[in-house]
Amino acid sequence: MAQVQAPKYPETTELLTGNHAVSAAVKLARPGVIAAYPITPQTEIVEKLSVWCQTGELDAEFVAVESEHSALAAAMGISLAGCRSFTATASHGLLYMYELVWWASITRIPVAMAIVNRSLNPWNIWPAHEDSMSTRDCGWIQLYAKNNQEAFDNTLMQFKIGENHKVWLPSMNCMDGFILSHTTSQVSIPSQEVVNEYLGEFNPLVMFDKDNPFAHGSLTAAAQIIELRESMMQGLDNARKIWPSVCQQYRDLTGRWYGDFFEIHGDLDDAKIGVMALGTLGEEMEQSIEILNKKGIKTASIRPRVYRPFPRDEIIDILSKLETVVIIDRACSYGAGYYDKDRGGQLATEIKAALYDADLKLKVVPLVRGLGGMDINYVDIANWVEKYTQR
Amino acid sequence: MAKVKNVDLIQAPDVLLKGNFACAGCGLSIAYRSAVSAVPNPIVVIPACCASVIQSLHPNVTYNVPTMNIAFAAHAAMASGIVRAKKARGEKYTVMVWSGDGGTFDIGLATISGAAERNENIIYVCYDNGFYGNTGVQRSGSTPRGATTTTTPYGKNEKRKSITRIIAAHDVPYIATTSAGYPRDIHAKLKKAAEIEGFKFILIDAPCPTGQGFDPALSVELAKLAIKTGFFPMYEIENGVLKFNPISRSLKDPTKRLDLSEFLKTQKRFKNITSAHTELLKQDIQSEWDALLKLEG
Repeated sequence: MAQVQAPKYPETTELLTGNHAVSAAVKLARPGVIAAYPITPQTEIVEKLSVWCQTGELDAEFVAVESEHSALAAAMGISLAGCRSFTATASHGLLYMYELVWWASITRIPVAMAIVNRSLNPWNIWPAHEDSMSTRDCGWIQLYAKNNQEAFDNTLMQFKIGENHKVWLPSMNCMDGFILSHTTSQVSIPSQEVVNEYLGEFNPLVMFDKDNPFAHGSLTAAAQIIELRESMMQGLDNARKIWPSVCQQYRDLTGRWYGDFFEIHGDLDDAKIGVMALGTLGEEMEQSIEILNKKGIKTASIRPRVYRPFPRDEIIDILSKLETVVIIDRACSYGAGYYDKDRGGQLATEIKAALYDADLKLKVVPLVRGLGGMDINYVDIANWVEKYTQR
Repeated sequence: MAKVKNVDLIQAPDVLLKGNFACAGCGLSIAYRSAVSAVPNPIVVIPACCASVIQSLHPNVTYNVPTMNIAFAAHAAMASGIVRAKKARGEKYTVMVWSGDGGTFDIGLATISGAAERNENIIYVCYDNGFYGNTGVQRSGSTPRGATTTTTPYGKNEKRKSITRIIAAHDVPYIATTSAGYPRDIHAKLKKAAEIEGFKFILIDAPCPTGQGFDPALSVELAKLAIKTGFFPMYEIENGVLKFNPISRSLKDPTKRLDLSEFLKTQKRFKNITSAHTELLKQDIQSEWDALLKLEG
């Protein structure tokens, strides 16, 4: 991704792991209180923040809760009491807080959470998207980062979009475990002034206030539940509308822009084939298309940055230019597909639904790859695209 | 502990409003009114329990204070987040958890333990009727031996958990037991707790006519019987040192207590209690007294 313009303020550059890049971004966002519980491969995010809270480098309290379920409960309490709130987890930690993941979105509490994607068990600590995909229905905003820089940038963007009063929803910033969390790369860090300008102070839509008592999360009858759910759907629609301005304002301040909903490489008008994947495979794809295009297999890579709200119209817009799309899911909905056919990868399934609605005749090649952290790279992707599209 | 008079209770803020969904004779409603009115600027976290239903149906709320309804095992962690954030904002509030025995003794125990170990500045109040009331009277860790519930139709075989001694093992600054039969005592203990920094735990015996099976008019009388038979001792543990309150201090001597049968015969849940269970229940009660005596200052 090229720098599209010079940053408005000077930035510093540090060599950071993905985890520490997120910590650095959270520090700049100035949360009031952080509540978190360790789990591989996220642990270093919260360790760093905990140290900074105690040295005073970050003026915030750190609540070392006794479980992930409690981490999200505390983070929700922090937000409703009037402070910007952050936590992080992965894999079974996310599953352990699952009921509260629903609670946070369906009762509109804008917690920001980092998810360092890790396979589900039997014990496996390596990257896959089963964890975040298992929460795709809850109504959280979901972003996927391709590298440490984007993991940093997405952290600031998630606070920005989640806290918009027309959205007011919690958000997940997903990044691949170990590939990003534990590898070091250059990260450009904007100044505190830039982040202050971008995010501003936490401005709660609702907050516990003795002069205005209310009950949050009361016993609610069907008609009112429907109102609440519809309001959440509207919030997610608003997130779709507002997201481009979140990205563009970030570009104005830092010079960095990946695309709003998608990062595209290759020539969409010339290509016949598209390849799609979330996260680091999305960055691998950038190399894959070079191999393919050299062979005369005209391919473009389309990396969704935002999975929720699902950018349905935008994807149709892009795919309408192509004849075939290869979609690589790093998770699947077990039982949704077949072992030897479409395996029911979530990204592929949702794209197929969008294509159907748009009446687009596109060949879809859905692949489920990289489960359990199986290492796959740009050569593999290029080989698959060739294999499945050139028969 | 400052003495609370009836006029103090009458003049205390009206925290539980009319139109609430409590059953007739609900011990919880006496407890809530006496407790939440005693502390300055409360924010009350309520997990799944009868209190979250008594609140009535959205958009009505019968609690006149900021209230957070949350999932069952999240209460103390949520309260921890609220209290730290209000502190960060420099705003003075009393953050409380208001939970039944189910969410305290059983499903929420881990999160209480975490908050206690961190010595979070919250008041955790458990109103205890000895079973899961909201789901229709199933046994909990608080159910006394021999009591009938829907999941213990022949009487519970296990001893009641001593939640106060579990919390005392966390070395928190203040633990107290009190009773819906003694609203002034509830009020005084909450007032005292609000002035202590750190984790406070208060267990309130809250008779439940619906689940325990007695005439709703007799809730207070039943609460008093629970004390006078020694079934429910009243005490405070301050910085690890236990002090019985006068009403229970005189009952250290088992011969001074009313016969347990006076208490058991009032409730349908003990109607068919076997003599074996009764004997074991008596031993449970005495062994709890013995353990408490060891903590006495």
